[in-house]
Amino acid sequence: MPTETREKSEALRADFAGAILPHLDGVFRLTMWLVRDRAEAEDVVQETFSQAWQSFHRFQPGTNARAWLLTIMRHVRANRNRARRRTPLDLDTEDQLEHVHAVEQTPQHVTADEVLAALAELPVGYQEVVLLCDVEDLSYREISNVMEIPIGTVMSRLHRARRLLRVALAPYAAAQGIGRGRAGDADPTEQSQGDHR
Amino acid sequence: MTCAEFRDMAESYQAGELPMDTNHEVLAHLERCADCRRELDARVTLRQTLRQAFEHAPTLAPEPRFVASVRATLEDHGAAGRGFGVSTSWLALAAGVVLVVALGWQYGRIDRPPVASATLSALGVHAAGDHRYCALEHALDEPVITLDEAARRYNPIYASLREVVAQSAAVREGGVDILGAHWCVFKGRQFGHVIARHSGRVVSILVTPTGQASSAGSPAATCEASAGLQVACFDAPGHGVFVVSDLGGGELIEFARSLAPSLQAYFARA
Repeated sequence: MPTETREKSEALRADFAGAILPHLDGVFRLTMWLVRDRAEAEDVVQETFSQAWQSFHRFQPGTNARAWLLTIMRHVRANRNRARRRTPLDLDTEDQLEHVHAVEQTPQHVTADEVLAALAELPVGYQEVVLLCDVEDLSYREISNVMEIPIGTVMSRLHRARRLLRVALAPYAAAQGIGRGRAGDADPTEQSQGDHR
Repeated sequence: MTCAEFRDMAESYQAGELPMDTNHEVLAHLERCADCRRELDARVTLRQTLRQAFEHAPTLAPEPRFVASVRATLEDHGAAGRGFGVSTSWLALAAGVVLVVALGWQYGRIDRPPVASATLSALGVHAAGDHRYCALEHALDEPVITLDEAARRYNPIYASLREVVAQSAAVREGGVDILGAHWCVFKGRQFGHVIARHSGRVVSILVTPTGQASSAGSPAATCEASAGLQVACFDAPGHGVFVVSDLGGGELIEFARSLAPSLQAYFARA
């Protein structure tokens, strides 16, 4: 291999190591959560990073590498699901919400196990949008690109997901007294002055 | 703004997706509504709990043999030569560190710096975004202006911001170089922005109004990390100050601690 070509190749690999490999842990965790099967998650992530390497010349430095990887991961999962004729992953149904009683307050102190258990009760499409926002810290536009849905749908799906999450957390909220009248719980030094409606 | 309107916007506010004017309305409402402050506090805490639970759940972690196999596969795809610049021993070490931190977090054995208030944590996400898109990628949607211009247009306090940072113990004694300073806007939030280099890393010192003029100043605390960036912060009268970088968390919080007295004194005098 000519020296110049070898140097370019090594520079490319160094860039890949610096920009992409640090996301292996995070991408694996999200994949593992979504597919719920370690062997399948490993296959998906292995293929994701292979494809990322093959198309790394198309990655734009300065853009969000995590979002780029998650887009590839989602395509890999979709292709594998198509090949196995699985049902679609998103269970985005309005009907489910019509029967959900609104819970206005978010509980203050829930444990790691409680919040993960509550998240797992949501439809997969809602879990995914919450994780992309809260854990992956993607912007609405980046979530829109990864999930291939309009920004408005990202916003409405997040809104519904929060609502469902509050419902799923309601048993823990009840344990804290939320929704049952918190006698003596209010801070006597603070007076609410907002315009309640 | 009403409480119902706040609840409708809280999601976008937390995500830093509101326009500047609406952002100000939200902050003004939060200033006078204890219930909505509590609700925002709960939302921020829930988000932090979810993120930490997800990042530390042992059942979601990749196994070391898998990490090694991914690297081996990638090396096979590439031409012969030195690998990806990440040695197996480094990966093993990194996996070990992740495991130790996860276990420490699980069992509460690791002493952690104080955690920032909900208001500062919410703003910390914006600060991390500003560091990323302004200092690192120069890709802000809106043009930056000089601190002098910002002092004329918005608040005289910005005029001396660079000098105050430059004269702080953190910079004078820490071998820190000031690279530049300006005023910028990220997702509707205004920042006085001083960019420095510390231990070979780019560090942003970001000052933004909080409207909480009564705050005398809080000790430096950590906000939740954002996209690989560490965020430390503290209150100064009427303002939140954020230090953002990919410096190690310990080094960053120390830098913020030594920066706090100068800036808190400056804002108290202003």
